[in-house]
Amino acid sequence: MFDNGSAPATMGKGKLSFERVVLTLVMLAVAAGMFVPFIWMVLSSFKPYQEILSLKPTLWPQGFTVGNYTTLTSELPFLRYFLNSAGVSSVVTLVILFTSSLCGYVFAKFDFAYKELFFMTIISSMMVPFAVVVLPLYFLIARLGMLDSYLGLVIPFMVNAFGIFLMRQFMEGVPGDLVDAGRVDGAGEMWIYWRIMLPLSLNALSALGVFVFLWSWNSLWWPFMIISKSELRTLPLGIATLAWEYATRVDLVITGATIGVVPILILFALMTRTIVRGVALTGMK
Amino acid sequence: MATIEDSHGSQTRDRIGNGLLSRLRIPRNAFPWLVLTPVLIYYFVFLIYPILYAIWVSLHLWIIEDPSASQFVLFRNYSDLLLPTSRFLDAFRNTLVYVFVRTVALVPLGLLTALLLYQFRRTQRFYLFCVFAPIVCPSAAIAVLWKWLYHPRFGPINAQLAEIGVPRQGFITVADQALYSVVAVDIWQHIGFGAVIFLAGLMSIPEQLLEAARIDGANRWQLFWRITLPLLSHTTLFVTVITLIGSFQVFDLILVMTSGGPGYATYVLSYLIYNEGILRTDMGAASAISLVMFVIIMIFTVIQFRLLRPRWEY
Repeated sequence: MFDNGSAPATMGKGKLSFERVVLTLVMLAVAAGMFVPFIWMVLSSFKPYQEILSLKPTLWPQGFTVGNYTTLTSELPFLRYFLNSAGVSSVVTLVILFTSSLCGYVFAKFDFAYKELFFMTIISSMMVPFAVVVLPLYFLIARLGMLDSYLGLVIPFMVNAFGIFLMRQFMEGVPGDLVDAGRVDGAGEMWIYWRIMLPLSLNALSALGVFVFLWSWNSLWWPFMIISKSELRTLPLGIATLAWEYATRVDLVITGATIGVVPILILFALMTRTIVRGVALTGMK
Repeated sequence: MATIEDSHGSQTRDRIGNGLLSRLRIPRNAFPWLVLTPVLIYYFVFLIYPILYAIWVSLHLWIIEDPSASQFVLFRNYSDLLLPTSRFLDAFRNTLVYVFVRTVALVPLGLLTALLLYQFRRTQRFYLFCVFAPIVCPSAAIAVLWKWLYHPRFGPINAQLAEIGVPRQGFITVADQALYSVVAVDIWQHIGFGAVIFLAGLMSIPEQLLEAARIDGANRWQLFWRITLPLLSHTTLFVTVITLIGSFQVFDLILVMTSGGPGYATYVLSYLIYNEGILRTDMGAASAISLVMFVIIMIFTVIQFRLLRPRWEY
């Protein structure tokens, strides 16, 4: 999917027709509509307050300054927010990849009593919207004493039903002979999982990993519910806080949003195809 | 993968070696249970228990400070949702409008964008990047960005409108525009999602099929309506249902852009759940709303399960 090689043959090579020009213009307009707001945002983060507030908005910064960044980071620990997000999202991703692949292996390559019943139990949880469990989960985490903690941000998201579903689907495609050969040779199940199943599932793992990481990195609702200490905020929560507490300081707000967006866009530029595939494959956002 | 290629007997045994993984001897029959027991316990604690708890709470006049003193009232929390003092009907109507507009816009826009992307080969990756970029960004940042683009006085959109002689608009600051202004941002952010799935669907249509129809004298309009679209019907249904389910769950954009306001103009169910449960600490009402929402979403999810994994290839 999305390989350059699989593109349609409908478009002739180097044929410059009127139609081609129109199509290109429309495509460029669409691309600009999607991307110009980001360019405007990044450029605005380098404008002084008065310039942003001028009634005739400029695109290119007239009075170029990095003052917004220094002011912002002295008001709120944005680097800390960034690291919090990176840490929490990485841990959540690794844990979900581990639990999904291990359960996927079990459901794909073992026969045991009530297998389908267990599988359906887990899968049916995909139907439960977060809005339904968010309040009970909040009180559960409160009772466990995990409000305002990294653990509270991670613990409700350690197993992912969709991940298990995806890994089972994928691992069912791994030839059973490979597993059997390992077993005949006396390899333990963990060895087979680690040395055979995982290396053969890298495609599915990377797609799932991309999806989980982005979803965790972008999530606001749960951190918003359980985090009140400033130093534990994630990046989205930091940006939201900025929008509430510094509502009139639009220069700072725009700069905060830029910090939240640019790293993820750079990552996206570096691995466009993997990320697009990950989000499309998992089909949820 | 050398270990697998030459997996006859002793050679592999040598490679299995004596590492931690091979010393960890788990009997085969026990392995599934060893893996699944903690997972199932986890599921019970962090998913099933919260749902049961929500059902239980929704049947009570819940007192947060002293749950044991809560009074059992059966369905009163549910029937109270229909009282004029409750914001449920407002939020419900707003949610329906939001879901309807978002779905009706996103499905055709996704398809159109996919058809456009399909025309490009060498530059497709670049366009894909632009179209998909808003999706990978945090909604909190998108909300903040658009809040400013929409600004009634200083926002660039109003500046552009002024240029062409249109009076300044209030957008998210006035009640009759707020909901549509938020849903417009949501649509803008998520066009790429449908586009990518439709694009995958388009690419899986065999070229010979289109070629054959072309030879038979079909024009492009006919090709699209008679061949491409019918072949994409499954994909279309899939995108529609996924979009519907996603639309019900909007929270981040509302929270950051409007906090439900102005007035109650952008209260949606998820925001009402938060508002009733946390700000007003009326857990009974909040749980009842959650469960109503659960039932609605479940209906669509069942449909989605029927369609799960359309025939687009990975």
